[in-house]
Amino acid sequence: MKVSYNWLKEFLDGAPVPKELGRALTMTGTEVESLAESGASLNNVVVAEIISCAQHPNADRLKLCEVKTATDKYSIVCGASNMKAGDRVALALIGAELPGGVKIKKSKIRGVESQGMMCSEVELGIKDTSEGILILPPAAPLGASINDALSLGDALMEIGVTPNRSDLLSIRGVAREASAVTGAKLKEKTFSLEEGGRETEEMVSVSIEDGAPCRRYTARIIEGVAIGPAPEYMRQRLEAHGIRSINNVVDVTNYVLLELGQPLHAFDLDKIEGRSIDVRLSGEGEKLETIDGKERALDPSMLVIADAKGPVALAGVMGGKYSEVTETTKTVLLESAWFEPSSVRKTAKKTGLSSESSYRFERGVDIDSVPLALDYAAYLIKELAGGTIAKERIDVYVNEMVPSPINLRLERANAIVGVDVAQKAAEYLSKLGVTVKGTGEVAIIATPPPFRPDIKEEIDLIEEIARLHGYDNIPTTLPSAPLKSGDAGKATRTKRAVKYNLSRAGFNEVLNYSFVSQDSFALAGGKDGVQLSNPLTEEMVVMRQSLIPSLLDNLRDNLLKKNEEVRVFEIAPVFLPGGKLPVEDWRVAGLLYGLRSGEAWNLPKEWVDFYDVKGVVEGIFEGLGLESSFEVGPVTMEDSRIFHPGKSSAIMIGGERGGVFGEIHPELKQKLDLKRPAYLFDADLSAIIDLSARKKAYRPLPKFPESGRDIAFIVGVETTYGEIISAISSLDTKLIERVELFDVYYGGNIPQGKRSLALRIIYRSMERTLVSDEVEAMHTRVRDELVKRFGAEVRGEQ
Amino acid sequence: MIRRLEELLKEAREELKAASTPDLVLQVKGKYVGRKGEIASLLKGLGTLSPEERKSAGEAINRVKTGIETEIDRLLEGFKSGEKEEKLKKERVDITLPGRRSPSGRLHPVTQVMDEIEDIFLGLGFDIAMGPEVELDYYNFEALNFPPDHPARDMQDTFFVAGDVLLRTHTSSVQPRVMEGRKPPLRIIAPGTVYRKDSDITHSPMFHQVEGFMVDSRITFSDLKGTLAHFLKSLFGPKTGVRFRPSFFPFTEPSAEVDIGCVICKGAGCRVCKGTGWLEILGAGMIHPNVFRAVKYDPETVTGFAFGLGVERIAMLKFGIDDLRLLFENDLRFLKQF
Repeated sequence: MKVSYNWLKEFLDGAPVPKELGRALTMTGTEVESLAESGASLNNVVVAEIISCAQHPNADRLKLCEVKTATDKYSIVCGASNMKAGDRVALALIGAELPGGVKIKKSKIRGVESQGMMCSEVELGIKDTSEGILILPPAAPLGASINDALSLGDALMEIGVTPNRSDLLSIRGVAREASAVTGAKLKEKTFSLEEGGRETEEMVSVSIEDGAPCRRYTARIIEGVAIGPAPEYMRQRLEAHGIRSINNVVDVTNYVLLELGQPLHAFDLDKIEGRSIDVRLSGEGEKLETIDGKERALDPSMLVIADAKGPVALAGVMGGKYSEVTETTKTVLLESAWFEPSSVRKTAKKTGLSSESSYRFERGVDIDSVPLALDYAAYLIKELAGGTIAKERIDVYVNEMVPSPINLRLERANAIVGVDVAQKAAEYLSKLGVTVKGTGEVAIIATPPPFRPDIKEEIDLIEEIARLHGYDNIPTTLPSAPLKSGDAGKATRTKRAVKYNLSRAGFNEVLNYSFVSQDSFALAGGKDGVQLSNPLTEEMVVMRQSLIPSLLDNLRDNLLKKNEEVRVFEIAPVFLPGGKLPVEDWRVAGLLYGLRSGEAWNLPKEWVDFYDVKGVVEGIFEGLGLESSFEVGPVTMEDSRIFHPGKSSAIMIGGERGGVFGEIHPELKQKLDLKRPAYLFDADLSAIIDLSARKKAYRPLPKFPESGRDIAFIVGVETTYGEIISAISSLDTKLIERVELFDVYYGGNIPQGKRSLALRIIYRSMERTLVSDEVEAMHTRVRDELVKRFGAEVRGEQ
Repeated sequence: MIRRLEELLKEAREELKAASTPDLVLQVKGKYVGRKGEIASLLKGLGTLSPEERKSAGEAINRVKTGIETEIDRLLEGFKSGEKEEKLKKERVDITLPGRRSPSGRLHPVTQVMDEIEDIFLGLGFDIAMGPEVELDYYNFEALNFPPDHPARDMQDTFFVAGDVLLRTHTSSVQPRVMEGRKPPLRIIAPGTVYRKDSDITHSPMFHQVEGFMVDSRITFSDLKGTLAHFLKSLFGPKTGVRFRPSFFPFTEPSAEVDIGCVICKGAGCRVCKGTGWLEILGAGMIHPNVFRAVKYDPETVTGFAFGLGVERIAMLKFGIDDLRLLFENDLRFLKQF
C-alpha cells in the first residue's frame, strides 16, 4: 500500500524523518518496500501554461514565451527548447527561492524583461539531471502551487502489508503502528457533525436478513448535495495512492477508505426503490449491472444490498450502475458496514472482481470504526458538496463483537522467544493498543483492540512482544540437541551418485518444467495425465510421464545455438496414474548426440553409437555397485514411438522391465530434422533406489599365472554375443577365468548374414600353474562347443 | 726425461683443448696414450735406466698417462651427453596445445547449490525428507494453518489440478507429512521442486526450495536465529551480515524474514539490493501451535522452528546470474560455466 508521509503526519506528533520512520517500520515487521522522497517544498512556484513561444529578438539560443496562470500573464525568457504553446510548466515567480540558492528577481536578459523562470527538474531540486524544462501533465491545475502538483515536501512509502495486518491498510492504521514503534504521539482527527432536517429513519429503512454474513450496517443521508469535482488536494492524494478521481461524493468515500481503512459506498437515494435497504443473500437467478458496466449473474452464496426491486450492490465488492452517484444526484445514501471476510472473498473470487473495498473487507475491517467512518464521510461530503445531513444515523448491529481476553503466561513468552521479555511484555502490548489487566508475576490478561482481529491467541501476543522487543535484541544461540549425523536417505544418496557418475561421463544436467504441452505428452505415449485446471500457457498443461520429449527439446534448442556436441541428462519424477494423487516415479534419462570425444584436435572424429549409450547405462549400474542387477531385454511396440526398434533395448532392473535405451527412431529423427541419430536412455530410478548394492568384499589375488588363448570364428548374425558367452560359461569347468572380446567383423570375405568374432579366453587355476596340455584340452572343448551349438566356422586359434 | 714428460702433458692438453669433435679427441688419444704413442715410446726407454731411476720415472710416466686419459674420457663423455640432449630436444612438443580430454559435464547450478545447502544441514544433524509435488490442499495449506477462503492463500499463486489436488507451492507441505509419521525430536530438511503460477524475469512457474524444521522440547526463537546465522555464514562466508525482521507466514509465529548483507555491493547499496544494502534470503519462524495441533503434537510440550528458502535466488546471488530464465533454458554454453 502507498502511504504519503505528509498525510501520515496529520495523525502523528513528532514523527521521525521518512528514512528513519521507514527503517523503524521495516524492523518491526511493516516492510517499507520503497521510499520516494520528492524535493523540498517551494514558495512562489506555480503551475502555468505557455500561450506562445517565440525567438528572442536579440539572442539565437533564447526563447521568449508568454505564459499564464489562472489570473495573470507573464513574459519569460527561457534557454530551453523542449516546450511548446499549450504545455503546462513550473513557473518560478519573482521572489521565489530555488533549492540551488537561486533567487528569482525581475531582470533583463539581452534587453528583454523576464518576469520569472520556467524550471527544470534539477532547478526544482527533484532530480540530479534533466533535459530542458519540466513539462507537467495537462491536468495540472493552473496557478496551483507546485508543491501540490508534484507532492513536493512529501515522501511516498510503498508498504508491504502482510495478510494478517488489515489494520495497516489505512493512513490512520499505519500512523497507529508508527506511533507504537517510534514513540511519536498519535493524534486523532476531530470534526463536528452538523445534522439537520428529517430523521434518517424516516427516509430509508435498513434490515439485515437473519444469518446473512453482515454484522453491522450503518447509513446516513445527505440531502441537497451539489455534485462537482473534489478539491485539488483530495484529488492529488487519491491519485498518488492509485485511485482515480470521479466526483466530490465518490472521492470522499475513497478518501475515507484510504484514511481510515473503512470501505464506504454512496448510493443515489432517489434510485433506491421503496427506499429500503435489505442486506441479504442473493436469490437464484438475480442479476446486477455493476459500476464497471458489466452484467453479473448472482447466486445464493453472494451477499447483496437490495432495494424493494432487487440487488443494488454486491456487498463489499462493487456497487450497481443504476444507483451510483452521478452529476444529477441530489440525495446521497451513505453506507458503512462490516461484512464477513470469507463471504466477501468468495464473492470477489467468483465474480473475478477485486476492489480496494473487497481487499479490505476480506482481511477484516475494524467494526468499531464503522460509524466513525460514516460520520467523517458525511461531514466531508457536506463540506465539499453542501447539503444537509439527516438526523441520527441508522446503525443495525447484529451479534455484537467483543474481543476476547487472552491469558498470556510470561514464562511461555520467554520460552518461545528465548530471552526474558516478561518484564516488558505489558508495556509492549499497551503500546499496540492491547488492554492489559492483571499484570501478575506469572500471567497477564490481554484484550486486543478491535482493529486487530489477527490477535486471537497467546502465540499472537508473544509475536507482538517479540517484534516490539526487536529481533536484533534477541540473542543468537545454537539449539542443544544430542550429537548425531544427518541422514540424507538412500534416495538422495543414489540420485547424487548417479548425477556425479553422469557428469563424469560428460553429461550436463538440465532442468525442465514438469508440465509440458499436450503434443509433448502424447509423443511419449502419455495416458491419463495429471492436467492443470489453470495452466499458464499451452506449453504447460499436463504433468509429464516421460523425460525424453523434454530432452529432445533441449537437443533442438542447443543445435539452433550451434552447440553441436550434446550430452544432457535429467533426474526428475514423472507423474503416472495413481489414486487420488499420482504416482511420482523418479527417472533418470539422458541424450547423446555428436562426436564421441567431443571436438578435439587430437582425437579421431567418431560419432556416438548404440554402444556408447549402452556403456552409459552400464556405467550407472556399475557406479552404484549394481552391475549384476542390469540386463538387456526385448523392446515393445510402445518403445518404438521414440526408439529404433532394431537399435534399442529394454533396461531390465533386477529382472523387471525398468527403462529403455538406444537410437532415436529414424522417422522421429527426420521429423526433428537431426543430421545424425540421437541416442537416448531412460531408466526407472525409483526401482534402482530400491535395489541393494553389492557388498564390497575382498577376493584374493591369483597366485598362479594365467594362460590366454585366442579363437576367431564365423557365426550367423542371429547368434548373439550373449548366447556365445553363456554357452562358454556353461561348460563344466572352473578353469575359465574370463572371456575378452577383441574384434567383431562384418563384410570383406565374411559371407552375407554372418559375422566374425574374435575372443581371448583366459584360463587360470587358483590352486596351481596350468600345464599347456590342460589349457589346450579346455580350449578344444570351447571350440567344439561353439561349433556344435552355433555351427561356428573356426578361422584361427592361438 | 722429466722435462720431456712435462712438455708432453702440456702439448697433449693443448691439442685436446683444440679438438672440437670426438674424432679429433681420439686422434690425440692415439698420438699420446695409444699403443704406439708418445707415452708408450717413453716407457720403452725405461730399460736404459738404473733400477732406482726406473721406478721413479715409471711412476711419473704413469701419472702423466692417467692424467691425459682422464682428460680424454671427460671430453668424450661430454660429447656424448651433448648429443643425447640434442636428440631429445628435437622431440620437443608444443606444450601450449590443448590437452586431450574425455568430455566432462557439469551439474546444474541449482543442484550444486542444493547439494551445498543439504551438506551444511546434514552436518548439523538434519535428515533429508521428501514429499510429493502433486499434493493435497490439506498438506499444502490447511495443515499449515491457511484456513480455506483466507487471503493468506493469495500469497502464493497456485496451480490447481482438480478438487483438492494441486501442485505444491512450497516444500513446507513436507512438514505436516513428516510430523504425522514421526515423533519429536526432529531435525529435517526437505529439498524439492515447487510450483507457482507466475512467470517473469524474477519468477519462474517452477523453482526449488529447501524447507527445514526442528522440533524438540525447548526450541526457542534465539535457536532459530543462531541456526540460520550459522547456515548463512557457511553458505556465503563468515563475514556475511545477517538480519532478522518480523514478518508473517500462517504456519509460523513469531515469523521472520531473514536478510543478508548484499553480496554484490557489500552493504553500500546497489541495484540488486534496491539501495538498502540487504537482500531478502529466506523466511522463517517458530512453528505455529495450530500446525502442531493438526499433526497431533501437543504445543505445550514441544516447540520448534521452521524456515524455507529459494534455491534459484541463492544460485543467482552466488554465481552472479542476472536473469532467472537462464536457469531453465538449458543452453549448454550456460550450463558448462559452472
